[in-house]
Amino acid sequence: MKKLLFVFLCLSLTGCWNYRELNEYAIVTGMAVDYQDNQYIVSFLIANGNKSEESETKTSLLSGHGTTIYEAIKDISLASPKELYISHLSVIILSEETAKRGINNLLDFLLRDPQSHQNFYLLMAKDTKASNILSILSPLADYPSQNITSNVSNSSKLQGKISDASFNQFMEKYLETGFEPIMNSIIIVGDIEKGQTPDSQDKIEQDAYTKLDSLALFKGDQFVGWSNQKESIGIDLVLGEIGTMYFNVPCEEGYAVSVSNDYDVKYEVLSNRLKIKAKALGSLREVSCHIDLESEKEIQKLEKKAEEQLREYMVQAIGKAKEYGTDIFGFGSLYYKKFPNQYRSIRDWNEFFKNYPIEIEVNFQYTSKGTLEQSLEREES
Amino acid sequence: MTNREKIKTIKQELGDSADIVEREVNDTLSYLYLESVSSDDKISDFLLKSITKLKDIESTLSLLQKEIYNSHIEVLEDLNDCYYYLASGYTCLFLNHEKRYLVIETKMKLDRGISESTSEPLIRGPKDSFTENHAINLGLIRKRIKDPKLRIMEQKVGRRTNSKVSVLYIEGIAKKENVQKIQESISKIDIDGVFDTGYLRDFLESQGKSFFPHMISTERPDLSCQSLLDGKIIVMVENSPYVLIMPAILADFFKTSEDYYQSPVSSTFSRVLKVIAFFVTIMTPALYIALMTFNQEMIPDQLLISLATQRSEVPFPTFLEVIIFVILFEILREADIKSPSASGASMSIVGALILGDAAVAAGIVSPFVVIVVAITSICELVFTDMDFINAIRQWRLLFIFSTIFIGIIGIVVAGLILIIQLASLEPLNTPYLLPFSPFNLSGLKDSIVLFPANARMNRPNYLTNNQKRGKKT
Repeated sequence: MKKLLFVFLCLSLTGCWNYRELNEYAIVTGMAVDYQDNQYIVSFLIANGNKSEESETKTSLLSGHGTTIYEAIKDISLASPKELYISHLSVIILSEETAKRGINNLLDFLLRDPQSHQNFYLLMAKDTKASNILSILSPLADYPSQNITSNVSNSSKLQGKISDASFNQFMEKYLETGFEPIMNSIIIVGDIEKGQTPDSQDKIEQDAYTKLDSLALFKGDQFVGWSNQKESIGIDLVLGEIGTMYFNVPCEEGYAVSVSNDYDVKYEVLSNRLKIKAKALGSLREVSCHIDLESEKEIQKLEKKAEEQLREYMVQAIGKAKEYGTDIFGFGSLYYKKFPNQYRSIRDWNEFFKNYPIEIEVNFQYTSKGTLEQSLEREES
Repeated sequence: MTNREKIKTIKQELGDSADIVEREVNDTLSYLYLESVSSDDKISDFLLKSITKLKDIESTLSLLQKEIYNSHIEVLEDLNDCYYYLASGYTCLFLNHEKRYLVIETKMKLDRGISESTSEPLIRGPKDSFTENHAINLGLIRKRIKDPKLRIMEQKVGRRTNSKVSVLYIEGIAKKENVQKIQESISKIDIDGVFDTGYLRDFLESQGKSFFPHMISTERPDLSCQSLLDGKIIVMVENSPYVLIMPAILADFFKTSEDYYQSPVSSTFSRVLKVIAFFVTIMTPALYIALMTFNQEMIPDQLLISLATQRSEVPFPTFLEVIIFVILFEILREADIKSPSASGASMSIVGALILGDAAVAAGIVSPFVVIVVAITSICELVFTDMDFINAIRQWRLLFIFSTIFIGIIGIVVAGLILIIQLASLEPLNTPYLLPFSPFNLSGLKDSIVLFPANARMNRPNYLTNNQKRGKKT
């Protein structure tokens, strides 16, 4: 009995450490960081968990400003009747200005904060303020900011243009020697002002919605420039971070849309150049030209063209990276592992990378033509 | 002593009780019985018919013993012994000027007969259950185990009730030291009365006080016989339809007699379900409190938001909400058991509609708490042993109280105490966590996973020294 009393006292004398009712929390699901007039403007998307009349969860966007990220967050809490709770943060949107200044302080805060969970997505807002992205609500999402997170995770699996842009992935590249990070971007399509009203959600055609866009190139913690759609595909191809991707292969008067679902890339690092050997298996999805798909020769011709196309994407991507002088492919890391002494003698890898010759070899093969054996135009004739 | 004197003494001792019936048959013979426990029909058929034929002079004790049509006749000398027999439904037959007298069995049938088990129903298997009649109970065992080695050791317990307490075991299978230990503990019992096996529980628990029972109590004869064959020992009390099976370990409470009638696969499945239910019913409310008030980061995003939405209208702290509802449910259950079946319908309406639905609508509790308590109580119902269920209920509250203060760490602390407690129990020198701790292969074949009967040719060796099944001893 005495023992039991001891145990009970041990438990009860903790004073309910860390006790917090769910009602006392404002659950932050999204965060946007803007930079304006030498101040950070941080916005929190809060699922405030109050029942509205339609018994749907209401959301609200609160903003605060300060010279540091933490100060801005504390500024928000002045406006919030509940304690801000960022453990369930699922997406962070950065504006261009913020990213250009460098996000070292933000990354430090996110890693240092005991509440932070670190399994969120980092995204850049293109052509708009970061807070605008969070204010566009999607009727398809179950809870605020879910539209963005599930969009990224789905798209990164099914598209070549989107990288799996989790915070951890970003940090991994950021901290690795000879590797520079990339980030997905998001844009708003439509009228921002109208899209922010809840009425917009009820319409069949929304006034505004968010959409994933091309990749942002970073050098260290600083944003240096955008890639275009083709370069985005190229970046993912070189990185080998591709599950399923599609690309248009030009043929005669139309295109043969091909999908690659088995992609593998190997690098061969030499002291004076680097060889990329990519191997892909794919299938046809949409053919609009007049070719004989039953002839092996034609298919081989098409494969050659597809290889050409893939190679083109990669060349463009590498060109872009060289232009900005940022090694987003991690060649430096490979070089460092192979030739550590030589790597150390190179003062600035990114400068070296600009003039580092890269050879690309692509091997593409069709494994299936889909459920149609012949092109439709040929079937008709 | 003349018959009159004897009868007078008895009547005096019984304080002229209203149910005494006496009659002088002739000059030599008189009899006396208590009509409340004796059957008039039996007396007239099996006693009167035979003695009225006799002539006075012929009536000697040995002749009477021969002539009376009754198999239960005993010759007593001490007049003080007759009270036990009178209360048991015997009729005393006195002879003039003869010190010795006869007691003849004329019991009235005062039990309800063998009926179906109400507290441990099975789908497949025998339907009979123990009754309040000691002889019938013994018979239910005896007719199943025709082994001559079945031992029934009877003792009387209770200063005033003088109830029969029988210890049953199979000689050669059950461990002798265990039988002795139980018999010793029973003989040491010195109380006024024993009405149910529940009275013996506290005296038979060998060591330490714990919430978890050291014995199974069951009203199923088939389960009792299965246990006897494994080497367990049964304690039976007169007037109690429940018998005690000793020793019991934790794994025994996950078994039913039905397990052996079904295929081993489905029995294993139902045992696994019970193990899950065991943990769920003990921990769910505690886990809910821990997640809601300390470790919100462990809840998935979408669930957290919907939980927060549900909670937003509830003015009480989460733990109070849970405790209110758990206690309300316990009261409801208590009321449901105690109430006559006629008011059962209104009880369920009040319980289900008012407590569940209206309380949520009024914002007193959140819907999730209703789910938590519902899951908890449903999982509790898979167990049949009342003592075991009570242990679960007590531990559940313990888990709740420890999480209120430190969240999920509280569950870990309470879990550790639970494991330590279970591991330290040793009913009749049998570790409670067998066959897992200490590891025991022969016990493992019939624990959570039930092996087919032909793979279980050995009895669990912690219960017996004679392991081989199927060989006569």
